[in-house]
Amino acid sequence: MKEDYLWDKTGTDPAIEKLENALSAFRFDESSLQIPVSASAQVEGRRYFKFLSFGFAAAACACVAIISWALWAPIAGPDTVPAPEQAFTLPAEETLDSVENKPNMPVTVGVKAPSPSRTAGHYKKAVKKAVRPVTAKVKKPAPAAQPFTKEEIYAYNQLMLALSITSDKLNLVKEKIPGE
Amino acid sequence: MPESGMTGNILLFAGSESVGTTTAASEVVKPETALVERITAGDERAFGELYKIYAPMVHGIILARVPHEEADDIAQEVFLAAYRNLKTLREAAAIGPWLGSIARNRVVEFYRRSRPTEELTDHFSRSDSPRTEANEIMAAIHSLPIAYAETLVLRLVEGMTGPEIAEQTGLTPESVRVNLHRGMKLLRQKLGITE
Repeated sequence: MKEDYLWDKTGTDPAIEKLENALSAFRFDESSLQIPVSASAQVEGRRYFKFLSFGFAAAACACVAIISWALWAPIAGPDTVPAPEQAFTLPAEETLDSVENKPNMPVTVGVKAPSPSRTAGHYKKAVKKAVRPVTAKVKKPAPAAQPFTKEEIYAYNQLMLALSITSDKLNLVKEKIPGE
Repeated sequence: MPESGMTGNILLFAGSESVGTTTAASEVVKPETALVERITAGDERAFGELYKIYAPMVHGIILARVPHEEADDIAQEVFLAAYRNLKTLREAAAIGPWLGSIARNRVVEFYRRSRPTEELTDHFSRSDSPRTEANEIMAAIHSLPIAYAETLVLRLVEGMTGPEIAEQTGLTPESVRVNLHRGMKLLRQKLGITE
């Protein structure tokens, strides 16, 4: 019965059999299909590299944090940063009036010595100038060589540890990358 | 580098339990769930078994849409994608329809990335090709509606029976039967075969 042959191959149908024979050249041949040696190895390899990349990111973050802390700590120490009240101000007794009354008063920072011909307005401007930018222009004295504090030694040790970990990780990756 | 160029063979997964090529499609196997579980547990032999069971179906679905020369590479890509994404399969029993949908998507991708080509003239294409008759039949099948073409390729090329097609593709047996008969009728008309 023709219908059965088309449906479940029972019976015969010469026309369909001829078609089957002709088309058998296109039939799936499992030997023609190739798949990577181990697809699983690829997948696992990707997972491994993903894990490594996370490790690298974490190590890099740790390094940056430690380095920035190590750099910031000595700068932010209590001895180096002047307190706001230590900013340059005129002595209390030297008000503008007292300055006006002393035309030959020596002005030290960033202000030229006034000539006698200058008016009180010039003095006022000069004093304002002297008061405003002085805090920024004052040069800090070169810090004297001091022994390291405990915090600095700790930061240094942490930095060395982080660098050694990073170096180990780099070596590990270098070994794992094929062809390297 | 295309994945087809890589070395190795899927048969490495298959182990010693051989399932003949000709019988792979005709076996009515229902251990999809167990197979998928074994694969997700890391059993590579199970993937080899899965491959042997479903490769003809995947190949047929692809062959109904693309030239024969391209079908093998795309089928290979389908199984690679399936292996990588098997954990996204929600229902293990639906592995067949899932593979079929991956195959159809891959064909769409194939046409999206392929450049337009110009067909050879009859003079070149018919020159002493041993597959001339088969090519003509396949061209006629490709001209049919895709549902008919797919079912006919699975039946006539891959040698699957109607019930096997229904089971592996997830279609109902009635749909497969209708597709087979209507497709066959159209094919006979196109090829000038009288019943």
